[in-house]
Amino acid sequence: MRGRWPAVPLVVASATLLVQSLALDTWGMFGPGPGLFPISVSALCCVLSLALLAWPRIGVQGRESAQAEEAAEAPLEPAERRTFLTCVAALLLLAATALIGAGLIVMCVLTTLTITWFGERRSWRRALVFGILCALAGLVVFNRLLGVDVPSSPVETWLVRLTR
Amino acid sequence: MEPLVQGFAAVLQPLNILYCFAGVLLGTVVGILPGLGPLATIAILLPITYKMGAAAAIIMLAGVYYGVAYGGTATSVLLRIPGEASSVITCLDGYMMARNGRAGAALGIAALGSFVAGTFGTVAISYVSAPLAALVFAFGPAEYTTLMIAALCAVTYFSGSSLPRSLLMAAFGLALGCIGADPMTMEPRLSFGSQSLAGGIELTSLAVGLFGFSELLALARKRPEALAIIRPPSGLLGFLPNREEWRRSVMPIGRGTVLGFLVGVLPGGGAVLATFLSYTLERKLSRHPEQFGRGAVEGLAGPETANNAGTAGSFVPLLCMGIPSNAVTAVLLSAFMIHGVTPGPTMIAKQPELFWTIIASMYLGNVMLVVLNVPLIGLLIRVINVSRAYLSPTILLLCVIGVYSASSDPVSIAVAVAFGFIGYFLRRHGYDLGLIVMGFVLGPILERSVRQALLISNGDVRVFVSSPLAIGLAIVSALVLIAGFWPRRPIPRLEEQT
Repeated sequence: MRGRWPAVPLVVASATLLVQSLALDTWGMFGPGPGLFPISVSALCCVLSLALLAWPRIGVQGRESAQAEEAAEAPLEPAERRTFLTCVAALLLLAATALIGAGLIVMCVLTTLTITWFGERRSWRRALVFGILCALAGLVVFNRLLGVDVPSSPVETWLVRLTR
Repeated sequence: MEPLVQGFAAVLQPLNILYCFAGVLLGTVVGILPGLGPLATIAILLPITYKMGAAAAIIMLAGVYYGVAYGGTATSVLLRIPGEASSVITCLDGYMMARNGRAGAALGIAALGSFVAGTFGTVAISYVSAPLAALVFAFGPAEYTTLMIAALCAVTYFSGSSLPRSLLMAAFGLALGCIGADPMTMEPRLSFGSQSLAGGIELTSLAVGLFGFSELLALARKRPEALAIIRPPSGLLGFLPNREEWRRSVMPIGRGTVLGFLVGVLPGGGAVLATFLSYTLERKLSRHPEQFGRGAVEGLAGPETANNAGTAGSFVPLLCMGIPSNAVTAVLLSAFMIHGVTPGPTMIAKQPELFWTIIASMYLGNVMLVVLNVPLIGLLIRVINVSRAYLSPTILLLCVIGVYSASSDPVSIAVAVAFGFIGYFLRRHGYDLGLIVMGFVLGPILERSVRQALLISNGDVRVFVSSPLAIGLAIVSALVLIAGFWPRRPIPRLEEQT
């Protein structure tokens, strides 16, 4: 089962796509319908992922790839595990703050504190200052100078207005 | 020759030179950050061009492309972190040269090789693009369908993982490209009832998630001592290759240029295949094959040049046929489309001034690359030495801005994070993420061709083998798929190198 389990999520994803596609028409009054292509490609996904689940060896190319596969499943050292988990936490935090509509400053400060202070064990003051500087640099360079949209809350809007 | 002169006249305006310079500079600076290869960097920097005119935007993006390619070389040489698959080979001998105290020499040779290859490639594009464009008019929807299937088959064949895995990734990319409203009936497809998905997935969210965020996770797994190993050279002379290194580089640069361009023109082969072929060729021709993998100059000069020549070659199918031959040109294609430019034969016929401006901007981009980067080598080495504790949040910031600016929707950041975890899982298990992006970009074009062909033939699938060209391409696809099941030497991936 060890070599098979990576294929399980792919089978689930393929099957979900296929089920969704089957609800669409394959042929309509304008000729080929909206479902023709999605059904074809999701069916192909299903066949290939099931093949990888049934015969995992067909997905492994040579001895080196088999070793890489084993390395991928090797356990992490405690220090690396901590860094890795804080990076995972930072990304989840980023997604959460984006979904609640937080601005760039909150996103930057929270993720920097998570990665730099908690993950890499640097001083929290440095992490905080670096996070704020990153956010301000992003605001000024990308938003103010280059006109690129950045995630904004009233704080960012006020800060950008200050620089005008 | 006259259209090219007019192209130069457009490019050499002060504002356009400034855009080109800014593109090369931004591309180099962002491209040297580990985790942001050409694909993610162009995706991130794409929004910067939104408010520009088409010509200015494309001039800047061409500069970004060249800058990123060189920046990616820096990470490969200095940190052994390839920005993309085509930089993997650079990690072998380039990194060993850096460990032997020749980091500056390695970067100098790479810069010169890139200049030679880029210049040759651009000159070649100038001459072969028009005849190729004439050939393209023979392509109807059925031929386009078979051509794109052949290109996808070729890319899956040359990818780093096995054929079933590569095909699966390409198929997933095609399926992801179907998410959103159907282009003909506007019926929502594969959106799972979500309003956010009804408009489809943003390419930037997909690319930044799969490459940027997943690389952050991959970097977090590495020990700090494995990242910070380079001591910056102290003087100018330390950056320059010595006479012996120049002598040993000349022939590999020449061979890499020609080989890289020829292979780069092939849909699917591109720069990745060119670097591996060049490395194999140089090792075969070298009097000291035992030095390969231990810091052989030829092992850096040949593949690095072939990489850039392949990059220039990959512009031929993009500009002449509107077909991206790899994931990076797929992103560039989307950039062209955002600015209302559809590359292909119609572009050469209807917008010749823009076509030749792009060609001229490539010349300028190459010159800028050398002018800017050779003096900057010393600085680049220092920038790369930034601690991971501060590098990761910086990469995260750039990714967030890149994703958000493409759609102005905070949900796209969450989608990118989700793709980051998916990408991390897939790369840990040896799947080639570039194929997802490739399938995602080609999917809508392929679907449109399939539906047009079936509409014309009233549903008769024999339309796809109704002309000699379509039959030939279908046979090529079948042969590539059959060859894919034949045991072959695996292309090493990052996880196998480190």
